[in-house]
Amino acid sequence: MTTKQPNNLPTWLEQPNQLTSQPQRHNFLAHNQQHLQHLLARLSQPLPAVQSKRWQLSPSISLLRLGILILLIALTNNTGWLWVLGLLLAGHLLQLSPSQLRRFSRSWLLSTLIALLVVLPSYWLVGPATVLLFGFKTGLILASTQYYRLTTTFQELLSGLKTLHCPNIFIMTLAIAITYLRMLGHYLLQTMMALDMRMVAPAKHPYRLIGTLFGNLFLKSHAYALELYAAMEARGFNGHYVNQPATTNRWHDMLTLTPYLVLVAVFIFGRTYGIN
Amino acid sequence: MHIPDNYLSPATCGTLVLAVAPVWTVAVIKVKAQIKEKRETLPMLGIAASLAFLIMMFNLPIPGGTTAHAVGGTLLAVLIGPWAAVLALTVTVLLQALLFGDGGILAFGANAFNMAVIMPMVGYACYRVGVKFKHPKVGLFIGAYLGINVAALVAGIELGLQPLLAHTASGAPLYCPYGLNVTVPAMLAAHLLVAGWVEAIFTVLVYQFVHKVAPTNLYQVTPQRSRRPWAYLLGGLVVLSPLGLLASNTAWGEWSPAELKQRLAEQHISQQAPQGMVQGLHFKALFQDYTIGNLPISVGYILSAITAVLIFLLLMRGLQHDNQTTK
Repeated sequence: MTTKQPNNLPTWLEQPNQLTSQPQRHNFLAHNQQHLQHLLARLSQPLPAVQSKRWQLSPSISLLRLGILILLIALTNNTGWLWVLGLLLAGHLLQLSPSQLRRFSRSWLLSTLIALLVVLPSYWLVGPATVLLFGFKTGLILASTQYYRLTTTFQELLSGLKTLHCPNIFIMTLAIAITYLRMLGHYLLQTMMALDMRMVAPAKHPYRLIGTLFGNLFLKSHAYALELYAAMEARGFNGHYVNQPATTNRWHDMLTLTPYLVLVAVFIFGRTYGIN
Repeated sequence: MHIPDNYLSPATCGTLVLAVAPVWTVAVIKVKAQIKEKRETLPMLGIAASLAFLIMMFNLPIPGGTTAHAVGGTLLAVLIGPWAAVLALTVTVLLQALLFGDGGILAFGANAFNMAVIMPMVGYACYRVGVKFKHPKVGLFIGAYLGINVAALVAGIELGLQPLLAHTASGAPLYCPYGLNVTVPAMLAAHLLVAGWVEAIFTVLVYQFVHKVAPTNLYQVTPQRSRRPWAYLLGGLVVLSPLGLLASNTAWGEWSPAELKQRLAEQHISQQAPQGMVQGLHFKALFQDYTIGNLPISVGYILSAITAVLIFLLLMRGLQHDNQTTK
């Protein structure tokens, strides 16, 4: 009778062995590695965009909606109006799942806090009313931007820009930039790790490494651009960005945009009747 | 330097988008021409935008234990060309605003104007001057330092003008609450003392590396085939120079002591012109107020313009290096 061999590796082999390095005086490489890893994690695992299956918006309408909302928030100085716009935004936020909502709240609070820190000294210059109004408006603008980020994929953003007649060269640059940001970031991270491992003593001055790091990155990008263009041509690239056919219901789009258009109309003509 | 939303009034944001729109148009036209000569420029634009993004993410240690980051505007202009850099940096600024919340969406025009237009253009102009005088690295260093500082100054002015442009009846500012006396020193101090040096050193180091390893990968300026458009432009401006005569009043701040005295009296400020002005230096120029002999003033304007153009052309000619060798 043979004894059954375990299929799994021992625990100590399965756990990644983290190399600890001595903290150095100029440990800027380690700091930047952390930043890059954070960015790469965000880029490689984008949050799933929250989309209603029954009520899908076309990308251009969603971009237009964001523009109108931000413009209205920026233009108004009436707290009542801001409250109405806040309610509209809160209604949209209800579509988010609890985990998405928690994530939204965290990042929104953090960004609003940073914005407020900059404007807080004006309390002593102009008084509390301006600081409160400014804080409220900034918070609303940041909330609407983050809601857009959570609910829109990058492809939708590109389609939206195309529908709004953005030049092809601009859209293509944007598409290539977001696609290859991750690749270049990964290459930079690997180079930094290699440099960090090869260094047996702290560099005389950290600036000496910068030229090598980014110079290499540029040369690598240049070589890659040549290969990329050859691949683009091989796939029949003709310099035009193809617009995806509309998959959304036109009536839904119009219906979703209606409250915003009504608000714009009330904002413009409301002054005559003392509403705004 | 990324201005968030709500710090600039929508009117300022709109004006700045309108100001940048012609630059974008020219950039697209120029880059399309560049793509015809160097086909890899198209993917390079996108990749350069990612490169700019990574440069802005990369923190460099500075004395005092803190860190700062470069923007890379001048560097990109030297590596891929100034117009391509304008487009690549515009895309970077848009990406940062839309995906990472760094900089505003309404303020996109302002941020693009500061970081994607002023910075690479100022930096590249200085670099070209350096190349002309056979000191490209010096030109690049000065360009990178000046580029980021001019951009910071403009951002400071944009922010500092807000309390003057948009305020309530009681004078409370509606957008950025700090005036020019706060914003300009705040923006400039940080950039003149820290960020400018970081940008300049970073730019020169990367340029040095690329120049040493692969000098052909640097952006090569295509020689201008014709100077005719410049001649037309200068000629047109010379012909149009008397246009200002249509305005009957003297330009603000250019009054003679007698005219100033009259204005002050009309506005009930004072019955006399300031003593310093009356008793100060009164230099009589050769062609005072562009009048040449008994010729009509408009002809005097045109002749003065032609004189100035010729003097500057002669000066430039004298400073240029000779292309032909003498036997």
